[in-house]
Amino acid sequence: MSLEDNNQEHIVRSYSEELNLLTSTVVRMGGITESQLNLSIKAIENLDVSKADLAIKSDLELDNFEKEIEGLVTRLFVLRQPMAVDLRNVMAALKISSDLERIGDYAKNIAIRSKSITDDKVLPIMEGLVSMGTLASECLRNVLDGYQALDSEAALEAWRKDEEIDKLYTNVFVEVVNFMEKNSGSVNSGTHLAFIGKNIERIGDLTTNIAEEIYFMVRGERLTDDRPKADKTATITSNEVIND
Amino acid sequence: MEDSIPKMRVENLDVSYFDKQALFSINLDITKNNITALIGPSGCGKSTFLRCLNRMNDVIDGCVVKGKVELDGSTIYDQRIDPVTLRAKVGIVFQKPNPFPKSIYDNVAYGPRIHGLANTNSELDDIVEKSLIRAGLWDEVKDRISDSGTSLSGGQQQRLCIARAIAVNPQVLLMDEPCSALDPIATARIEELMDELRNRYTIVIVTHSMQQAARVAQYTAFFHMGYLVEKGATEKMFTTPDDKRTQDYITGRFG
Repeated sequence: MSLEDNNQEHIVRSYSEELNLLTSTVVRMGGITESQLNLSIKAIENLDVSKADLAIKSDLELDNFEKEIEGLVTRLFVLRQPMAVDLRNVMAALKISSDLERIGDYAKNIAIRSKSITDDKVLPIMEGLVSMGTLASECLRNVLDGYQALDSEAALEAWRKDEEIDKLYTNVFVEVVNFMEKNSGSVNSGTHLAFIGKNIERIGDLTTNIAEEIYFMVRGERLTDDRPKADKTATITSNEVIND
Repeated sequence: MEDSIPKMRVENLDVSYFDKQALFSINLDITKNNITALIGPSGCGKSTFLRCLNRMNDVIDGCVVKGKVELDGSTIYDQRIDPVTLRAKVGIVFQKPNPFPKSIYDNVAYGPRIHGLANTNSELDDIVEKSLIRAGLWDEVKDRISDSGTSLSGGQQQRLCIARAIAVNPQVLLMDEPCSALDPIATARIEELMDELRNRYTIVIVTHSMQQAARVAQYTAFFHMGYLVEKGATEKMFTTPDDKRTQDYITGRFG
């Protein structure tokens, strides 16, 4: 019994209202997360300190959203003991909010690191990171649209796209290592870049978690396929990089 | 419900009260040593169904039962079957505790006496004690076994009724909303007891509390307007039911 077929209101109207409030709070939190991520990407694109500061600041807002959602979920569990679609709905809200909060942490970390990069020579590598970030942001937006529209297909599509982010990450990682091999004075900036890449890759993974949660919420069945993965960075050795 | 042995099997069961049909072509297996919960709105036929399992409907005026109800592969609606013997095998506990206006001891001893299950007084004492222990009541009543059954609290009376039902060695225990007249503590005791009893008996419970069904039952069947709409593993029913009517009912959306 999927969520899309569920059009009837609860007999107790305030129950429906509480569920609607929960969903709209998650949607608002998603919107803030998305714009925070976009700010961090802008921050690395132009090494723009003001954008970085805005991204860092909005993290507090996400923490508060997460607490608010936790409160709403606790209240629903205690007062309504949700069942079936409602149960899946409430569980999804709780898990998605915690994933969004983690995405916010990574976005904040990207912004902080962008402020520590002082070396102009890294700017060409930045392009790859910006493409990665833009794609991650697009996936997040699609997943959140899927949440609002109860569209498990949209979520699934974003879920599949994570493979592209992984591929970009592998490329960026190789570029960064090559860059550091050639510019021994830029190891500090280069290390920040590698971590920024890792952060975006993690954001992609968390976005796929959200997609999985939406899929279960809507369909009532788990995504059982193994997600396509293309992050090869863990197995790259220095020799391979240089010969690349 | 195919994964374990059916203790009782119901096939194409129709029940009418005079010209009003209450159940339509019900098919349900009751698996052994499990708790099966019957849920559904008032008037959906779940209590009627329960009463078919030990022929309690025989005594209801105008009630006609068609179809097959089997206990261990033998039909129970057969002229050769003595309903009194059947009801010893398939015991029942009702919504409101209904102890006899007799002593605690006699309440439990009544069944074994009429069925001749004890040859001596000490054998009877033994059955009474064992049944009260299994019903989780022994420690609370062992020093006042001659007091009237009606002097006990509601929760104790209900456990006395369970002791009375299990004193005749039943195989199946039917429970018709056994906790609806009890407070949460007494309810928790009965639920805990049910979990122990299912090692020995097969239990079918009618309940209006979805949470109770979710807590105690391995299998759940949802009835609506005389039809068995959905049956299956309890966890599945309460997280991902297949039928919209089930979903609407358990989530509180019924229009």
